[in-house]
Amino acid sequence: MKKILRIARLELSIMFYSPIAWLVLILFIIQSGVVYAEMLYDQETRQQLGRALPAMSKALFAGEDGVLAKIQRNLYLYIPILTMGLMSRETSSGSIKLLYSSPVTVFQIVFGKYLSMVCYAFLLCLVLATYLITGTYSIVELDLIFVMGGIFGVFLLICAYAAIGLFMSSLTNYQVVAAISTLAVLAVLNFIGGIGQQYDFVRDVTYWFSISGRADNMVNGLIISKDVIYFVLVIVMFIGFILLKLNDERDLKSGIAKWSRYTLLIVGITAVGYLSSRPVFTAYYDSTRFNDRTLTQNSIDLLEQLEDPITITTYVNLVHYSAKQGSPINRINDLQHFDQYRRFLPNMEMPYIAYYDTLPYKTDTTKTLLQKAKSAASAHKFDFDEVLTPTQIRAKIDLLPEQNRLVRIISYKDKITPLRMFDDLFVYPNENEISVAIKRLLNEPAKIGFVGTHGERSLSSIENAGYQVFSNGTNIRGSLVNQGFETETINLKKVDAIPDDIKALVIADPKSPYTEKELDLIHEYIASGRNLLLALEPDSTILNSVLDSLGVDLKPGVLLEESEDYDADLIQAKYTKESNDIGIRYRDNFVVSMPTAAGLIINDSITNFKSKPILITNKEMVWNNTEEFDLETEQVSFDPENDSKVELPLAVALTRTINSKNQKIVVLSDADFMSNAEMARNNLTTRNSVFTMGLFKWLNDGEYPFSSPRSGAIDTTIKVDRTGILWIKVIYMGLFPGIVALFGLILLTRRKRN
Amino acid sequence: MNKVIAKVENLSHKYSRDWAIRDINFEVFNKGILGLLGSNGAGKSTTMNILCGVINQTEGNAFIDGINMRTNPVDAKKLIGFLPQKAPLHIELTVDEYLIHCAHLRSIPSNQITDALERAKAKCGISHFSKRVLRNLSGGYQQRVGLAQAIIHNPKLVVLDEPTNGLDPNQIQEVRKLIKEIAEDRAVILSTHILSEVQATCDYIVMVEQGEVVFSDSMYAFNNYIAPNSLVMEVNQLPPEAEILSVEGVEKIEIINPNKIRLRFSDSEKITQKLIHKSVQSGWDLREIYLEKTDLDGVFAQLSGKA
Repeated sequence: MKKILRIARLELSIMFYSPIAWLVLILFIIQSGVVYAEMLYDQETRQQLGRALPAMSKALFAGEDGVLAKIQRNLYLYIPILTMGLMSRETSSGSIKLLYSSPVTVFQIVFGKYLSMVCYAFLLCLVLATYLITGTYSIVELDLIFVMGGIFGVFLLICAYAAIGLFMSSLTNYQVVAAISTLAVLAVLNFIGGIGQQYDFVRDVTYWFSISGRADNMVNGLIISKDVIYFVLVIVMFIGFILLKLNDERDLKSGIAKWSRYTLLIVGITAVGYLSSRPVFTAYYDSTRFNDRTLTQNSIDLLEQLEDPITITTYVNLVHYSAKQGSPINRINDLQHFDQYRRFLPNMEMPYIAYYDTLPYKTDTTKTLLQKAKSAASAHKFDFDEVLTPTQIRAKIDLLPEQNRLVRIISYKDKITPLRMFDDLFVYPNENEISVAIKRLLNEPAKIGFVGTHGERSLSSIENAGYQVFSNGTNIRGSLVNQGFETETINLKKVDAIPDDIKALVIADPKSPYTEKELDLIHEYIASGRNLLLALEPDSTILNSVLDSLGVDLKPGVLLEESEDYDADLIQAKYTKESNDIGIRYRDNFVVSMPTAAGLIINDSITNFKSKPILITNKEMVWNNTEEFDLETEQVSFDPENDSKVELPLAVALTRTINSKNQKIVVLSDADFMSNAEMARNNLTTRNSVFTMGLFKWLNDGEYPFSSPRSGAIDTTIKVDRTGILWIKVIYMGLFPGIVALFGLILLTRRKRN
Repeated sequence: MNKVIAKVENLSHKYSRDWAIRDINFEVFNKGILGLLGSNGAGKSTTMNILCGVINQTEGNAFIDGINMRTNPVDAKKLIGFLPQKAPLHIELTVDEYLIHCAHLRSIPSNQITDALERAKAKCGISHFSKRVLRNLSGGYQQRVGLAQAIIHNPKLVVLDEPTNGLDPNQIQEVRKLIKEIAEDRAVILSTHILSEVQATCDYIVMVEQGEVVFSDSMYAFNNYIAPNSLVMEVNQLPPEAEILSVEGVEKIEIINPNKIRLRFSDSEKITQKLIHKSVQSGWDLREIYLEKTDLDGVFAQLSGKA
């Protein structure tokens, strides 16, 4: 060990007796300083403008543009410069013979030299560690452990690069060649992850070898054993290569003997690496303050209820555009979306089944289905021999309800449930959707009954007024069916009673009167203490008897709202603070759009319901119009003399305890707020979707949708002002590198004179 | 009494396909200088590198004080100091920094390093350069530092590969003197392709040619072996051939020019004396007479021919 330290010390001295080590150090300090100060400046500008800041620990250090993220992307430029001379300088100058003729082993030589680079890596990380102080000074509640985890990742990356650089330096007598070939190897190790992605085993192996983005997880707060082992193995492998190389150089061996030793080393390392990357052998440490990189406790508790492993089978239709996500070349990326679950379900299997079948909405007839499938297979590198034909897939599973697009079927014991991809920015299901799907397998979904007897809003209609999107929209993230609910249309003519398994009944905008019997069914349902959502339109009288029993009335007339941009009958309903009481988070600026709504009159003194308005009109803008009007032909505007602005409830939550049950009823004076058109409205920032989901959550006693609450970030305030940032710049771009440069200069000048 | 400190047994080594040395055997005694003589590429450096553990031989064994360099290299290397053809210096370091590093490498206990350092520097005459950076030293002094690292741990055997290569005549003299001093209390192996260097410094000689030992004995035996068998005589008046041939030992003469002849003789015993005597007797008016030295090629030719 003493000799290893001695050799390391010598290497470090030599490094610092040349300008290179100093220059790299200075550049490193300046680069990190520039990134840090710029990011801080940008965020401070946001803060000055009163915008909400992201979690600053992450913004400053991780993500795409944080200090550690950027540094780790640029490290490949620094390291070859430092490592290029480690061995090649000695072999070209002949000083290696000093080591070889001294009582030291090759291992001591190699390890000593490597240790010098580890020390240098440590020095670079010390520079990064100064940001723990700078960060504490810059922002409130810096997540220190998170940043330290990231620095650890960068340290491992430098160590791995150093091992590669040392090996390359041992291959040549020319330092420049060593530097360039190190860059080349680093490029190969970055590139190798993309090789052979279409073959399952090759993909795993080449991906494992790939160094690209390996430290990303650590920088972003998740330390995974396989990543740490990867770096250790890369180091071991390249150090092993050097030892073999140096021994071979001094000992004549046959080509076969030489190569078999290299092969054995590679195979051994690959085997350990492969095993370490198996989910069963993977350990995790979440370095973020609130375990942001781990499933929420709710999900963990849910997963603990699973008695058997689950299987997520992904069905990929080649002819649909979603085939790209399910393609073999995207497999690693696709699987990564389930990493958090694999962490807790190491035995979870995730097979993929590729098939081709007609798409319900595609009408491209220029090619046959087979032709389309074949060209898609070749484009996405599917093995067409393994792709199922329409007949084969239909015999296996009916995917038409999923419109033959990419869908995952989660199976557990003898139950299955779909897990879909979504037509939104994120595409992939997140924790809420995945956990809710698993929850549906463990518990029954919440069934919502929609009365469909007298022209009520339809669950299957894709018209503007229809309810398809929010209820059954298969590829809509926020639809009921993707949040743990099941929907059922109930024809009151055909039932004797509302089915018992219905968690809540929805009656939305009936167009023709109910029969006595039908009304009786509704009354019975209410009387039995079960939950109800009633959505009406202005001047509707069909459900008056029901309203009477609830102590709610529709105020005659239609509400109109002053607006320069929208039709007067578009009401921008505001949340009330009472909405918090039913679990819908109140914010002053939250708005639910309600075209053609009426005011509600609440008279709960005549019933035993307790009522709480949860949506109200904006009293400065809204008035009630009781006269006939047609917005298409006339301009209706507020008349201060005859009209008056009103604050009226638009939605009311009613509760009572009956039959020892807590009954929940919501009455809304508009049925359009959850229509397809309002769910997709993009000319106004509305909360219709969240509000609607909030109502259903309340109505099914909070069981669905799945909630995965996380603690909000607390490091969202910047403490320093522009002057402070200027000081940080001065320190990292002037003072700190200046001091280092001065030290270097004095040392080098003094030695030059000797 | 002389004791064998190093022994080379049936040493053979090949780089890729060609044998660099083949079946080399010799012994080194614990005092004195052994010259490893051979032309460039003869296998001297290979032999030395193997002896010092820099490369591992293909066949055969090298022992240092009975320790096999192949099987127990760390212990064997403690006993040797090696100065390769090019001094293994870290030119960025000062003399002291470099020698202290070498001392640590050679397993000198920390508390003895200062003494060892001073001793080695004093011996090599570089004490006054302690703080100088090696890069700034002249070739001769760099070579002295190279020698100092080879002896800093007081090894039983010092191996010097062409130590005077690239030095100017003064430096050569100084280094030779230094080597002789070093050899006073330990064994030194010195390789060179310069015959005169061997003759000037060595006590024993092993001569290698094309990877094989062609001569191995004392310097005395070597000198006798390669004793000259011709001399050149310049006279004002060239005597008749028969008169010259009449001198005892002279076998053949060769006229170079009207005043200069080359004589070949079989027995070098007092041949010059006899010729001078005859010249005085017969009035040849002798101007100059000198023995023709055997050059290295000649020696190799002789030895190889015989080998």
